[in-house]
Amino acid sequence: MSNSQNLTDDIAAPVNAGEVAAAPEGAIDSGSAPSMVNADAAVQAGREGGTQDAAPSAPPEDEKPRVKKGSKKSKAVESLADFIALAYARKGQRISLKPKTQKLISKNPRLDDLELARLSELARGDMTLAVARQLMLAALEISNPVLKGSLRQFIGSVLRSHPAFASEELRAALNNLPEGPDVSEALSAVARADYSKNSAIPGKERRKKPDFAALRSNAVYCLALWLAETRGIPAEELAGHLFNSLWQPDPNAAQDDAIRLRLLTEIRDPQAVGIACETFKTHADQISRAAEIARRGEAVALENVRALNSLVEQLKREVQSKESQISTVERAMEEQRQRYEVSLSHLRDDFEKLRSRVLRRIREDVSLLDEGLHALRRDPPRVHVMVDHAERAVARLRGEIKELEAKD
Amino acid sequence: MSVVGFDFGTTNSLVSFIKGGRPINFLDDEGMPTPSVVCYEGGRVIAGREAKKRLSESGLGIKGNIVRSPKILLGRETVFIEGVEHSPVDIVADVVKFVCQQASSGRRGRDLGEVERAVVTIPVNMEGHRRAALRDAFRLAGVSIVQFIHEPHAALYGFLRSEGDYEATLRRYDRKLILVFDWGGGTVDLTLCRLIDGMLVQVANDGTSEVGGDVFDEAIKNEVVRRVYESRGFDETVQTHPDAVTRLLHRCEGGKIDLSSRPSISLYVPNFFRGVENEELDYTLSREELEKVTKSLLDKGIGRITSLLEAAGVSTAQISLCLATGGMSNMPAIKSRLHELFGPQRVHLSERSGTLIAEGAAWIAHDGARLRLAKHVELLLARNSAMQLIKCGTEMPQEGEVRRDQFHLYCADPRDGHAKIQLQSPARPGSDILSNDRRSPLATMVVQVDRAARPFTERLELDVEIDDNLVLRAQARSLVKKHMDEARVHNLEFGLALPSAPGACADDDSEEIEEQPIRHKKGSVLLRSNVADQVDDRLVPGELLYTYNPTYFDRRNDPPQMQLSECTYYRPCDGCGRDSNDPLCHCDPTGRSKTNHGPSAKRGKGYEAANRAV
Repeated sequence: MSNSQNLTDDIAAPVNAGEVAAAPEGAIDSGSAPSMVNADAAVQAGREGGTQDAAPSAPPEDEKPRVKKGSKKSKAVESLADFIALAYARKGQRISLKPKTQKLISKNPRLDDLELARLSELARGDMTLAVARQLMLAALEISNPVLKGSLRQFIGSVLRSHPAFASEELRAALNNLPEGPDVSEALSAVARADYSKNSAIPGKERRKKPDFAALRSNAVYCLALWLAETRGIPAEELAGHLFNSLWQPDPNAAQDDAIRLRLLTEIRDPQAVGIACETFKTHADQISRAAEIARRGEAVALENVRALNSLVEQLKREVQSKESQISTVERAMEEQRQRYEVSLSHLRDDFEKLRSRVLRRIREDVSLLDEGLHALRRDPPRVHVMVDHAERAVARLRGEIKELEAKD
Repeated sequence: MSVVGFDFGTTNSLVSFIKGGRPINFLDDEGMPTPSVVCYEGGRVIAGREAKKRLSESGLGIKGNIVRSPKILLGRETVFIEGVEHSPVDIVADVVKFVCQQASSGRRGRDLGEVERAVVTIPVNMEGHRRAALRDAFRLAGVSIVQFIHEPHAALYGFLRSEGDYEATLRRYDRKLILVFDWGGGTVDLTLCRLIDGMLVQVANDGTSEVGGDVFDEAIKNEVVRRVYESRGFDETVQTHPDAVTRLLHRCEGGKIDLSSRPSISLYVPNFFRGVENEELDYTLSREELEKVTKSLLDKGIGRITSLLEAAGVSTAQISLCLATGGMSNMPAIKSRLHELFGPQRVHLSERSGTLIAEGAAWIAHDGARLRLAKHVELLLARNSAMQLIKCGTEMPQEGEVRRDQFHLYCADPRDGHAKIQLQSPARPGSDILSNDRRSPLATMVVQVDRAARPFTERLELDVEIDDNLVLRAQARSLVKKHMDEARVHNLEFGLALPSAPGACADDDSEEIEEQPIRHKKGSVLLRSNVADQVDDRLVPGELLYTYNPTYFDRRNDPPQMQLSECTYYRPCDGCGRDSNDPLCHCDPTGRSKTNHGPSAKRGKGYEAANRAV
């Protein structure tokens, strides 16, 4: 069973939120900085065309924690549950743990089931996730890892049970699953969502536009902080993602000087803007330096390209020259080969002519002499036949010798 | 593979081709061409020298189971060899196949490869249907004939190409008469050629197989046998061994050559006679005896030269070159007789006389020299004028090509219901033919036409084509009567166009022939052509034209005298209705008809005057 289901099951128990509603002394470093929630809500409201106060509207009556009237001092924060309950009591105001309190809580950093159920019920009332965001920021400052882990676990369960993160892809992002979207996509998905139409949001019909704007920005911040914490994303990078997903001004508003000036002068937390601007400035400086380096590199590269081009041209000319030489040599070789073939054919023909002529002559003369010998062996011997044949053979052979000598 | 020259000779065949500007002859192991002989022994086909060894007698044609010079059989449907029916085409194909196989498989064969295409030599008198049969035979042997070439042309071209300076040689013999004298083992062929317009054309030719080299050997052998029989007192009952005559024939062949350098030779054949005590033949043959035996043959052969020159009206002094080829040309007696006739300077006895024709064919294949028509092919038109159908110098089609042309004509005189279409050719070659030069008819076609039609009404079509066998086929059609006639001419005369010859003849348009009467031999019966290539009343016989157009003969129009005379001569007498030359006509020659004018005024006795005019 998931945490959210547990939480739902445990909601049945009445939550005595009033017990922790008042900020215990020493437990909360209230700080003087104005709440970022308010500032963001103002930005969001401005984006949507209004300049109304960005503070989230009051939660509905049934969701309001019951606080004991007249109790000036609240119970001291002795456990993590107390701290979380206190945070919910402050309704999204800035909270942090003093070192002493932190030390105290660290003795019992776990949340038991009863506490968890009670706190989950409180979390259900935090529709705009303002408290979750503050808890997330508070968790960043906690040095005790066990305590930090417990708080983060609680926040995780709060986020997972919130309708803003009900989609599969955002759950995957929260769970850091490999199939989940990357940071930029996840943040954009949260920022793009139209919460006014999300029926899963409790008391949706009673909410006003600034509430949804606050929900959008808090949800984005929560997810950004969650991802920064769980994935170790640096603040500069996170600022870039936030700019892309949430902070980018409305194109219409960005063109109207009046709106721009209004928005710029209504910034409640110049520190935050300063940090963002500084981040971007640093980033821009880095990019500018990189661009300068790239320009120099480009100039060098262009010079190299020119040099290489001229080298290529030179090599091409050399290749052409060599190819021309090769083709000349090939032609010469082909001609030489043909001449050789022709010469070979002629020599073969000459040889065959000579061979066949001499062969014929010898055959004829041998035949003649053979016949003469046959006549000589007769009884009585036909000497005149032999003499005739021998003379004819000798005459022919002499003729042949003469011809061969003439050819020399 | 290059195109080879193929001399398919009467006695010997030879393949030759040009490599590196020199002819290579594919001779056999003994340096001799392949004999054109084939022997059928049972199912075996023996060709070449092996078949020749089996021959015991001279002569051409079928000798037992041996066929010598099979090309002379071409043109016949079938022949019988020892009772077995053979096609001459198959017999020739057997020889061709053997010659090609010998050439390819011989020691020089690696220079040749497979013989696939050839320029083939043919005798001058080989006509179209025999050429077609020869082409079929070569095709059967796997060789396609690129072009036929006449043997004397090939020999002469081989001679011209073998001369050092080809161009100078051509200039030297330009427009001169050259006699090619080919005395081979089987035949004597004589051709008188002239180099006209860069084309080698034959002026006259003659040939005989009566005095071939083999006949000499046969005559010597017979004389020797006769004398031995006589000296030994044998009668005809004394038999010889079966192969003895063949052996003696071969000895006579060798002895004939030796007698050119010796006063006598001894002919000795052991085991010649059968059933007598001394079986050997021993005879001493002297040069005088040889000359005596061969004199008549020699005279006959040389006599052919003089008779040819006489027939052509040429004296020996006009011959600028006598090119002697063939194996017999080297016989001293023949040599000396040629020298007597022409003088040693004008006689060229080639050392390569046995291979010159094949070499010439190979050079023709190598140079791409083409056959061209030596004489115009003309159509005889009405009034004895001539129209050129195919001009002299027209390139003849090569393998697979056909040269076609179509002509549209009119019938000028359809009264007999026939249009007479005669193809003719001038008697002398060349393009500068005069209109009154003598012509010889080539073929005549008669096409039925509508006899009731007026002159020039019925149109005629004439298709003329020459195929790669150099056969001219003409087809005439009448378009109204729809009748057709066809004729083939197998004896067209061709010349060989010499590449780069001065004034080489091309397919140029020569001038129209003037309309002058053509000279004919005395007493010859002439066809009166009644076709015309244009509508012209002058071409219509006078008497016919008169029936359609009497006003034509009005003297004020100055009608041609010929037509007036025809009208006068051929129209019946207006007075008595008799023929104009009927002696019974006594009508008044000056009498005039009431209706007829002009020519009818001279009817009756007036025909005599008109007849004189005709």
